Amino acid sequence: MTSLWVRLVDKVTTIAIIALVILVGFLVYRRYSSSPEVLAVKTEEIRPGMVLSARQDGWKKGHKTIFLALSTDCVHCSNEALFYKQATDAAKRFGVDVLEWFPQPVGDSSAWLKRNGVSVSGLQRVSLSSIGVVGTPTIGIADETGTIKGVWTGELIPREQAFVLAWIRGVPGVEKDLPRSGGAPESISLDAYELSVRSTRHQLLDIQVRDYYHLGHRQNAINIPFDELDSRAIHELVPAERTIIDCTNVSMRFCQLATRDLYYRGFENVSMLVKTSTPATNGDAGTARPN
Amino acid sequence: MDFKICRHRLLRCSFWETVILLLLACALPIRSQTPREIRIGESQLRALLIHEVRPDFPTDALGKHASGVSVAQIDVGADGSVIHIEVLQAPTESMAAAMKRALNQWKFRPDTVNGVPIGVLGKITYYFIIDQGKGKVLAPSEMGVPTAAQPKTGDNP
Repeated sequence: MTSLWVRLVDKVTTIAIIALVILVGFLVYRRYSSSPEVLAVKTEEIRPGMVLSARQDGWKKGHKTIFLALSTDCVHCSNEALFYKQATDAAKRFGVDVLEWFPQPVGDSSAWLKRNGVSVSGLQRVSLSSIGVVGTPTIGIADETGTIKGVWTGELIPREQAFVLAWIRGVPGVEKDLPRSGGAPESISLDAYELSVRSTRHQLLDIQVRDYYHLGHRQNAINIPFDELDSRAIHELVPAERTIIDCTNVSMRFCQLATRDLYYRGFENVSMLVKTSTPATNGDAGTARPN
Repeated sequence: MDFKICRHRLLRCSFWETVILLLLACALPIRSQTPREIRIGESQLRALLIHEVRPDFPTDALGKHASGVSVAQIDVGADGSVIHIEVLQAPTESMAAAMKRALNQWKFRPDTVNGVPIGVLGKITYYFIIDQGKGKVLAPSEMGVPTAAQPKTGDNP
């Protein structure tokens, strides 16, 4: 009888060990595998005017949709997590569909969303480049017909966040406030600045952090660190004047975000001072491409 | 009996321990990624404010006709109290001290992520201005938009 028990326990433990090994292997595979499941192949960059597809993008007809293209290893996505929480919560309340696209396995993406307090709905694993997403985070809005009304890549400035939340809530007349593209801001090379622009009427904005500004800055540059533009720019700069942002000592990404920020605040004449005269290119997160 | 089984299966017992350790190792990165503190913008930070004490305009600064912007970085604990203040910019030492004294008394509504209380880090701005000989301390939302024809240029203090 004892021998029978021992054999039984032996078999049960063996099966349990095999099951555990398989489970651990599966968990490790889920955590570290990154080969994405390609849902669709689109060569075009996602932009306003394009139409979401039910088969390829998971879009459902007849509802307004907000889509988020995120990644679990993207720092900017984590920075924006609170806004995504607000947006997805509002979407749930106001009957707006949410699509969440991640290149990582669904388990990892779901854990990331839950960890950051973002509702999990419409979560899919996709190859972001194959659906035309150029960088993370990307957020977009589409109307009932699936037509994309606005797409933003990178962290959103407060005005853009406010617009997206108002759009989700269906605030009357919000569409007219859809942040429009100001076109590519003018880039001024250092040579051109020194030769001709410097002597003209303008305000030079330096968006470096305070410590770096004190280490060295251009003459007459006004220092408003990038993360303080929201509360200070409108009170310390003159919107009607030509504003030149010194982009020679900060990343182009921050410079472009600062340009957008000022543009939305009513600064219509904003230029970027760059080291060369070639047009500015995207940094790691791209620029907004709203209507 | 259990003891007997375990004694004859020492290898298996250690294997179990290995499996448990592996499972723990898988779980650890998940816990370590839970945010404890997040950085938020000034408007979001002010939205969490439940008790504001405004800085006084220091009399010595008024005597010197000193005015300008003050910016402080504050660290708010998970319970909503201010646990650290660093004045990043202020026109005078006394304004920096006034800013610090006031911010020390601020209270915030505790913020949570996924139900877990978290600390927040953010910047607070005040403008120390002199209007008709009187010192005023204004929040950014109370400031107007400059319309001066002459753009402001020049090094910050």
